[in-house]
Amino acid sequence: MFNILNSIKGQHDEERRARRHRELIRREAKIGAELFGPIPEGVRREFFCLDEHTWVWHEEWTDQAGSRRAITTRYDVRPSGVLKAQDGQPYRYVSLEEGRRLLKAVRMYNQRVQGELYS
Amino acid sequence: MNILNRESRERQLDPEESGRAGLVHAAAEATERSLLAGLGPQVDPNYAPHAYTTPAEQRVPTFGYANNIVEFPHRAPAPTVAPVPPAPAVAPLPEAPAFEAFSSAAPLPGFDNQIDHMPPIAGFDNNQAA
Repeated sequence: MFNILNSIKGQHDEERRARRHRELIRREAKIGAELFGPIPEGVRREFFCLDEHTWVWHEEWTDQAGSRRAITTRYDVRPSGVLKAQDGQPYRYVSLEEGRRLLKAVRMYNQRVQGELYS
Repeated sequence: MNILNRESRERQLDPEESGRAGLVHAAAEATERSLLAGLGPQVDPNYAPHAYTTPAEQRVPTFGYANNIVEFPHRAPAPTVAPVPPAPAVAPLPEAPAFEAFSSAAPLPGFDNQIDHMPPIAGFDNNQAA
């Protein structure tokens, strides 16, 4: 009987942690989206740290034909460089210019998130 | 009021918040290292000045990319060239003697100006043509 109760409690704790984790990432993503200036109307943007080696940029917008479009870009941090993966495209290392912007964004993200959420 | 402010600033993070704070910080550092390793120091032209604040002899190249940034400890600075001392002032030349002094000078011994009266050189004298 106790085992069943403990199991149910464990599941609840796990679910609660997962919800909390998602909530924190949502809040970080909102801050991350603000790093690149004002977001145009009708555009949904997110930029966040998924885990220690992954950054995600997600953007949704409506094109001229009125269709809703979305693109997700993932930056995989490897010891030898940062690989970029985009929907349907092969992996490739980020260019110098893109690397500069990513580095700046990551520093600002860390600074703002630490100051606004985790202090 | 101050106490309340301090308490609000020093609020306890829950385990999820602490975990995310550490993870984001680690991710930012890993990304910085990765970009510098992959693209070289030009990815962050401002990196070198604030990254190495230790004296030159304590600098240790790290991550490989740093070899392009930091000056190697064994590379001694070029010796300072001592300033060249000013050239000594040139003493003015003594005034040249007046021409009259030569004309009135006594004939030099052995090579005088009475060449017409010199004895002929033995074997190859100046009377040969005569």
